[in-house]
Amino acid sequence: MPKVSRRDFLKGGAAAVATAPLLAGTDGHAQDTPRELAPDERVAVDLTLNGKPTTLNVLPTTTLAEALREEANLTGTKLGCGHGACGACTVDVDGRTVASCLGLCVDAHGATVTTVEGLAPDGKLHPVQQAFIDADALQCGYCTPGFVMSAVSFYDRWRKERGTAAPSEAEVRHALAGNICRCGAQPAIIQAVIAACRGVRARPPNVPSAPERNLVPRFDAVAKVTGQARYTVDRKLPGMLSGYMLRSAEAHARVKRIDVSRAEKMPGVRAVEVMLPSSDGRFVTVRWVGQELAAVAAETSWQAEAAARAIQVELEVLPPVVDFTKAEQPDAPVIFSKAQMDEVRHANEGPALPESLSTWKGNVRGPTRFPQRLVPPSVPLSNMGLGAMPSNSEGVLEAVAESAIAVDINAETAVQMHTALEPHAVIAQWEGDALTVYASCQAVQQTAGDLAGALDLPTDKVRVLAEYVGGAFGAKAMSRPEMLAAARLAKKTNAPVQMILPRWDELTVAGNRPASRQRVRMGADRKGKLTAIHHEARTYCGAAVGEAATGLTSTHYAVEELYRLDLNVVTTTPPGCPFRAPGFPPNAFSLEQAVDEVAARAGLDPLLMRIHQETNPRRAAVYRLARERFGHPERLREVARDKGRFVRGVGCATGEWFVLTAPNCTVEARATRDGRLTLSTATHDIGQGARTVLAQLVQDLLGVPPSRLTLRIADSNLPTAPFTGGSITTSSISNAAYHALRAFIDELQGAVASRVRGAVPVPGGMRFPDGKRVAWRDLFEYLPADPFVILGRRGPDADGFAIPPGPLDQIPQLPVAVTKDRVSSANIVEVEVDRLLGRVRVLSALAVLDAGTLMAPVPAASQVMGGVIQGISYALYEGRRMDPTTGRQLSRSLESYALLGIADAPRIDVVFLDKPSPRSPTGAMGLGENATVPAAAAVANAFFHATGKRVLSTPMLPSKVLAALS
Amino acid sequence: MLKVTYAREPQEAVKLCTASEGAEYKAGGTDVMDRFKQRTLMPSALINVSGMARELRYIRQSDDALTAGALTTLTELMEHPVVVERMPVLFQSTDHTATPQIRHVATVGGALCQRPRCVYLRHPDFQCRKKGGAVCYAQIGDSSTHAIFDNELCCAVHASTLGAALLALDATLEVWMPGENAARVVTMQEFFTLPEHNARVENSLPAGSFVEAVRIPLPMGVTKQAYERASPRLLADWGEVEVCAVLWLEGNRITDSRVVLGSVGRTPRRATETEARLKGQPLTRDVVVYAAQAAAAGARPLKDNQHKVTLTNNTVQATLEGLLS
Repeated sequence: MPKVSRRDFLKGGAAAVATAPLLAGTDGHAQDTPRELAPDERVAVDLTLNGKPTTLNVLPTTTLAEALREEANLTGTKLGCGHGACGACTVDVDGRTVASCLGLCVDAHGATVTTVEGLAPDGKLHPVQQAFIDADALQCGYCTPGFVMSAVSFYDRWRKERGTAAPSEAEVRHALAGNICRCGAQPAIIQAVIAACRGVRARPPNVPSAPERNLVPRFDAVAKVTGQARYTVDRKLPGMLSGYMLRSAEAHARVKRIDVSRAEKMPGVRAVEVMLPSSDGRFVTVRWVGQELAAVAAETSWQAEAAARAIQVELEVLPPVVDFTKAEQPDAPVIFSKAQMDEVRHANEGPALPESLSTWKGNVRGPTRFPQRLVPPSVPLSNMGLGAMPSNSEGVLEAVAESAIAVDINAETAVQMHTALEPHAVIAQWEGDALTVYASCQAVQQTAGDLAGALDLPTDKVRVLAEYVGGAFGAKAMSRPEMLAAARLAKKTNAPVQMILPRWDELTVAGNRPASRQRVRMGADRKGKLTAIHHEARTYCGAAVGEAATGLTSTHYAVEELYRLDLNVVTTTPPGCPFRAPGFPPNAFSLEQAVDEVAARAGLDPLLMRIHQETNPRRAAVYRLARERFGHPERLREVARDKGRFVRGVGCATGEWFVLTAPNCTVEARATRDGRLTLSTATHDIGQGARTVLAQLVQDLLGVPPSRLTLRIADSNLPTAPFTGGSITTSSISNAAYHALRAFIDELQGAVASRVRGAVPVPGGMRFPDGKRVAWRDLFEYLPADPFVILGRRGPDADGFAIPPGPLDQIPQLPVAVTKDRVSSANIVEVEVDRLLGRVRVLSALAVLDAGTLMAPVPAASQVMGGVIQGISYALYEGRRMDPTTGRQLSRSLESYALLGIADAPRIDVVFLDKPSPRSPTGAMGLGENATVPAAAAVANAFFHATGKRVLSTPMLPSKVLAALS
Repeated sequence: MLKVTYAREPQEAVKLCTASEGAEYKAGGTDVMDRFKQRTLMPSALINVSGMARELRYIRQSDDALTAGALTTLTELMEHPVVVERMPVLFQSTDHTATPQIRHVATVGGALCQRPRCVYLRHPDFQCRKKGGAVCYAQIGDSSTHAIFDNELCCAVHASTLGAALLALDATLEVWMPGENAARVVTMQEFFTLPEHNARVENSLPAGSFVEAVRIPLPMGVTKQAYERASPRLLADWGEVEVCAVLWLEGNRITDSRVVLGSVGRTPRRATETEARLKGQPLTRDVVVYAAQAAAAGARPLKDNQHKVTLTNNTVQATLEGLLS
């Protein structure tokens, strides 16, 4: 029966009901005259939503995604790119998946719409949702609802037509090609969908079965596959205003005047704030397109945007400096003058030393000299990747020249964008003089401290929360101008203010991995033993400094002659920021190709060559494991001969990373006699699986299952935890939680023993006098108090730290330390090169890692797959496009900035050297950065193996491939 | 914020669209909503034509042609059994267009009339020739993904894969033009013959024209057809070069061919020199390699897209080699 929709005239405040039907939807109503809708005229749209008849009152231009999220409060439908490329907003309309961010809600009139919330209406998960959990086919979870919707659509069709036959990987890839996952869960997603279609239980790829260990699935997986996980962008507070940032359209200019008076009078506008670093009348220099100028809070996002456009900005435009080469020329405009050194931002995680320690020559910064008084002489600074120490360049070059094998490689890496699918987002809310901030953030306590400092508040007046974070990768490790803007606007308006970066801003100003140009000259003897390395790197952090691309070179091979130089070349482009293993993937891209070249010239198996000269036994063990697992190492040595259209090759590369930890990290355990346990710490789960690390430890030590465990994390008011970056988290929280749980067990044991005469501890619990063994989880009724609360702190390693060295009694207060461990990795990948179309595809990848004890095997394997996927994506597809004249970024969308898609995701075999660190009780080390370091280099080496040619520049696009092959 | 008007039949749509400067049609919305949301190439008003679905969402089969209404989705088109069986070039090219979520809503009319994906055109701060400015910024900036043919005025490549396939299949369009009382027939070749000195448009239709349907003749005789796309990623990517090829065969002899290049010019274009080299020849590897080497004849690459010349030849070779049995 055709439905007739109602239109509510909200204009002028008079609510009238008209009867003219809306010409929209699938049942095609007749109508008398063309209907014209004013932009602010609300329309009633009737649809069947998750099985229920529903009416949504929307504007004519409201997208279906907006209507679902804002009118129907179904926030499981995510907004990722906003233009149909990422698929996070996928919903089912009349039996077909659609990108709801591009469809108008009015066009869904009369339609049947299913969102992720409609898949498990009575709490019973859809088989596809269950398969995603079982295969651990998710990480941050932000893309998950969209993937699940596409997978369910495929599953339904497949089941109808093919029953429980197994679909091929290619069929699944094709069906899911409209969804993007930045964390790199694609290989697991493919397996999940195949298992669901077959009707068999999915398994996480690469998680070896551990009969003695009850493996905990990802702790927050149910919340993520059902769309119940609430990210910052999903929060809506009563009376919340929309914030919008006005940004510079010029790459280089002096701001002479900003007049907000007209904007303040615009409709719906509640406050405007100038966001320049200084507004005291001194001219301020902007140094990149997108730099913050002013922020507006208004009742709707359209009003805020319109007002921002009405802000009058008077600029004195200065010449932009965009081209890397031109930036170094003597006549290039100087971007930071001596007087402006305090405006230099740091793009890396290294210590922000005063710029007076660095040499500056025009726009070239470096090398940085580390004064002995800041760093004790016992610290091998050159081993820290913190920038090179000047040394004997000519001597090293001579040593290279005199070597039996001398390699000279010039490599370039392009700017890579973090591209988390959840953009940077913040909500600020004041209650009296206390500020609460919800932020998509991987550093709640640091952010709280930064905001308190900027707003001149005591630290305990600022609370930052980040319950779920839709990807971060380093870009959310620092407080951002949007946070401060939201806080100031919220203060001024006395209302909560939300700011969400649109995708183009996210891609432009939210951080990036700096580009590099590197030259590696390397000498080796005939047997491939490396003797000398000379590595010069220029990195391009935009209007910032701090990236170093020779850190890996400093420690990765034991050579007698080593020279390395890191220079930063400053341009008027958006500043870089930490990105998963800062500096190391670009470093590996040059270094590991040089080593591969040595192996090729020596006619050696490149992995065996590394093993023969490896001095670190753990690292050698990783390489051996890689060789064994790969199975046919003779292939690594073969020379490419095939000249057909498709040629294949295998390549390997290796990497390493620091083991960082936070000695002051603290975990609170709180147990009640009814059997429940709560762990609290200010750590973050950005998809890497911090929650699961804690849940697995609780399962392992106490036998308490996840169903009885509550985890409170990502709240700056909770016990201390470090920012989540640099692979610091697991080593910090697992050891802190271990201490808390061990102390808890001791107390529990004492309490039981005092009440049950003759009860004695046995592994995993107590044995009672009657001979019955009772696990710790079943002894909570004996707790000495209810609730019973106990704290554990990470503390120092058994033999101290590499940095800082020295007395252990100072260490427990430290927020970060570098341990004496180091983790290493090896990748072997197989590629297929299409010599006609210039396309490189990775067919399979093997990743072997030393991560110490695997605290949580399920997310650990996923995180490694993700690291490899990101590395492959970096090698083959990712490169920022920037207009060379104006400095305006051309990569503004997920079409013009390409990430690896599921069709190009290979099978990945992950193997761990599961061997504890000898230094801490849990033996955990860390793996997030290490997982991505060698992958791009391995792809490049495989390309060489397949073709006999090298592509020494990322991304390895068809243009470069064809040039290399010609 | 946008004014939205609903049209209930094509002629009315044309009237509404021409009555308002800068108004645009919205069907599936996958292009126009993207531009609207990115605040670039924004229409002044939307003429929402998706309400005409009942009338214009159909595929009709006659003895010699398939006719698809403008609001037919790409998925519906490619899943039609006649397309699957007799028009593999249309099936393969559509199957590789965009993503499933887009194909499920993107329409035949919209796919033909979408605006280019040039990174300068889609940047709000570049007032290029397509927007009435005096400069083609890609020519002096980043031209890596741009046209190697017909690129003097503007070098944005046409975005329509469907257009390339329909040109290869010699389709015709039924088009309502402003001020006319009936739809007229426009061949794909005419559709893609651009007016001189006008960088702003991607087809020959007068502003406000409405494509009502596309008529695709059933290929007569024995044909071999293929689609190939050169792109960094396998799926969900825009082509650097696309090739739609239809060969007519008698035995193993190529009696005729249409080899259409996409993503290399301001419109899809036929590789006439390649077609000439194929005509009358046996379908052998030597013949297709020789023919493919002429595919980019006449190309004038820009600073950053020199590789597209080789890539064009190679993609044609890959396409034709795929037809060797």
